[in-house]
Amino acid sequence: MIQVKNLVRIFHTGDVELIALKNLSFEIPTGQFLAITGRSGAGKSTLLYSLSLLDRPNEGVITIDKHNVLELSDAQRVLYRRDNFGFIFQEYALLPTLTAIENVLLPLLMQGVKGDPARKKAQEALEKVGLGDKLHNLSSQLSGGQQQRVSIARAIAHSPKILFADEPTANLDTESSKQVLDIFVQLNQHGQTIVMVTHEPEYAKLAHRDIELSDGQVIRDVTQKPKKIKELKHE
Amino acid sequence: MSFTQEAYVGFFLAVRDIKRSNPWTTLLIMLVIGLTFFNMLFIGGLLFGIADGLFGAYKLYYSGNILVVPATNKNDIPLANSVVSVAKNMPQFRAVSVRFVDPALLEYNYRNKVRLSDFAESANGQIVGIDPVAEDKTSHLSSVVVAGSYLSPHDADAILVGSTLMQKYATIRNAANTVGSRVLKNADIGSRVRLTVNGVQKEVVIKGVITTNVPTIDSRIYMVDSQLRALTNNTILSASEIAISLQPGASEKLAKDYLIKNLRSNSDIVVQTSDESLPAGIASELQVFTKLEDLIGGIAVIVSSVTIFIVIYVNAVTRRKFIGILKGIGISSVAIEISYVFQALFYALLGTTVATILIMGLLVPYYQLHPFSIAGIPGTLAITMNDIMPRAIILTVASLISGFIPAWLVTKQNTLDAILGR
Repeated sequence: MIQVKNLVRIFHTGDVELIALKNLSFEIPTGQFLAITGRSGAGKSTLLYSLSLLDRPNEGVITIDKHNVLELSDAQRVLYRRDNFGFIFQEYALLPTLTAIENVLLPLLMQGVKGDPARKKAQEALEKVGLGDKLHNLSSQLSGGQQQRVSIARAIAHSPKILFADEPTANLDTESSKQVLDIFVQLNQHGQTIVMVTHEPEYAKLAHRDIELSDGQVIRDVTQKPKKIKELKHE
Repeated sequence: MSFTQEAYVGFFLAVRDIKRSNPWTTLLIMLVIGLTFFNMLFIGGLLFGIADGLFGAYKLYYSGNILVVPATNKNDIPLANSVVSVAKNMPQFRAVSVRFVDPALLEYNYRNKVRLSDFAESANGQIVGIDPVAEDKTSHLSSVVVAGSYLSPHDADAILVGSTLMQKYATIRNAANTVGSRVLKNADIGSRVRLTVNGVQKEVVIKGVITTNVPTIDSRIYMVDSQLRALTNNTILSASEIAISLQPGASEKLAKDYLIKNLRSNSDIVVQTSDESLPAGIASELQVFTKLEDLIGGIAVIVSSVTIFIVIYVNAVTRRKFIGILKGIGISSVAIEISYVFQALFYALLGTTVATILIMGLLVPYYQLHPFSIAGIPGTLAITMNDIMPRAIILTVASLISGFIPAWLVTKQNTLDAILGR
C-alpha cells in the first residue's frame, strides 16, 4: 500500500517558481494497476519520479507499507529502489555495453544473487517478455519494442513490490505498444502493483484506476473495470 | 551489500565497458596514456643518457674502473711496478695501463717563421706516454681514432693527437674548449710537428687523431712510453697515472679496497673508483643533467596526471546518463566508482605496457646501436626497468585517482538529472 499525503513539488528556474505538484493526496492499494494520465506538463512524470524516489518532493509524505520513504538518505533510497521497485523509462535506459541478459542480470547481482541463479532469473524474466531468443543481443541489435521489453524484464527480474513505468509506449509503434501493455496486464494479473504514466487515454483503460492530472492537481480519479488489450480502440 | 559484492559488480561493468565500448576511444585513451608515459621516460632517459654517455666515455677511454694517481703532495707514482703487480693479482682484473704525463707544446710550420716575433701554429696539451697495446686493452683508445691510425709499440716518432688540438677535427663540444686556446689550424695526418716537453724538443709525425668528446682525453697527445721517457730522461719508471679495467660486472669498490689493502706503501698514491676520479667539470655537468632530469621528470608527472585526469574525466562525463541509469536501477555509487577505477587501471596498465615495450624493445636497443650526439656529447637512451617501475606506479596511481574523482563527482549528482540529461 502506497499512501501519498500533501505532496508538493516546486521547481525554481532563476526567479521563476513552477509548482509541478500541488498538495496531492491519494492511496494505491497493493496489486492495483494505476494509470496516471494528463496533458504534457500536467505533472505526471514528476509524480512518478517522486513516488519512485528518483526525485525528492518539497513537502508531503509518501508511506510505503507504513514506512515514510521520504526520510531515507540518498544512499538508502538507492538500496530501497533496488530491493522494492522496478522502473521502466520512456527511452528504455538500457546500458549499451551490456547484452539483454546482462542488463537484466545487473540489479540481481547488486542484490547479492550469485552468478548462476542470477543468470537463470534474468533468463526467466526475458522469456516472460518474449525475448528468450535475444539473450545475448546488445541493445543496438534490438528494435525499440524489444528494448522496452528488456527494460521490463530488468524491472521485474527481482520481483519488485511496485513497478513504475514512465510513458513506456511513447516511443513504440502500435503493435509493440500492445505487446508491452499486454505484459503489464499479465504481470498485474499475477499480483504486481503497477504505476504507469501515459498520455494515451486509451491505454489507461487497461488499468484498474485512472488518475488524471492537470497543473499538478488531480482533476479526475476513476476506478474502472480494466479493458482487455483486444478491446482497445486504436488506429 | 558488501564491498566484495560492489567490487564484483564494478568489475562486471568495467570489463563490459572496455570490451564493448568504441575501440577507437579505447585506442585513443590508451595512446594518450602511453605517450604521456613515454614522454615521462624519454626526456629523462635522454638527459640521463647524455650524462651516462659523458661518464661512460670518460670511464671507457680514460679512467677505466680504477684510476691510481699520485697523492696531492706528490708528482708521480714511485712504485708503479708494484701497483701493476698487485692489480694483476686481483681476481677481477682485466687490463692495466701505466701512463707518463707531462705538459707539452706542439708546433706546426715553425720553420716558416720569418721574424722572431712571428707566432708558429701551436697547441698546448698533455703528452702521455703509453704502452699502446696495454693502453688499448685498458681504454680501447684505438676505437676512437677518427683519422689516421693507432700507435704501434715500435713507433719511434709518431703521436696521436686529441681532436681539441686540431682545428680540422674539433667537434662542436671541443670547439668550445678551444676558445682562447691555440690549435693547430692546418696540421693534418702525416704532418711533421715539433714537440716540446720540459724544454726538450723533438720532431714527430701526427699518426692519428682521436676524439671522445671528453675534454680530458681530447686535449692529450699520446706517444709510445719508451720514447717519452727517453725524451724526458725518466729512468726511474715513476708513472703519472695507472688505469685499471676490471672484468664486466666486477665491483669497483671491492677492487679499490683490495688494492689499498695489498699495497705496502699506499700513502704516496690515491686509489679512486671511476666515479671518484671524475674531474670537477664532468661531475658538475652530470649534476646539472641529473637536476634537469629530476625537474623535467617532476613536471612530466604533473602533466601526465592532469592529462590522464582530463581524458578519463571526459570519458566519465560523456557516460553521465548511463551512470544515472545505473543509480536509477539500484546500482550503488561505490560499485559505479569501482567500475571507473577498474577502467582507469586497465587503461593505465595497457598504456604503460605499450610504452614500455616501445621503449625497451625498440628505442633503447636502437640508440645503443646508433648513439646520438647532442652538442658533441655522446649519448644513448639510458632507461632501465628500475627507471620504468616507479614511474609506472606513479602514473597508475594518478590514473586510479583520475578514474575515481570524475566517477565520484558524477555519482554525487542528482540521479534524475543525470538520466534526463538536465
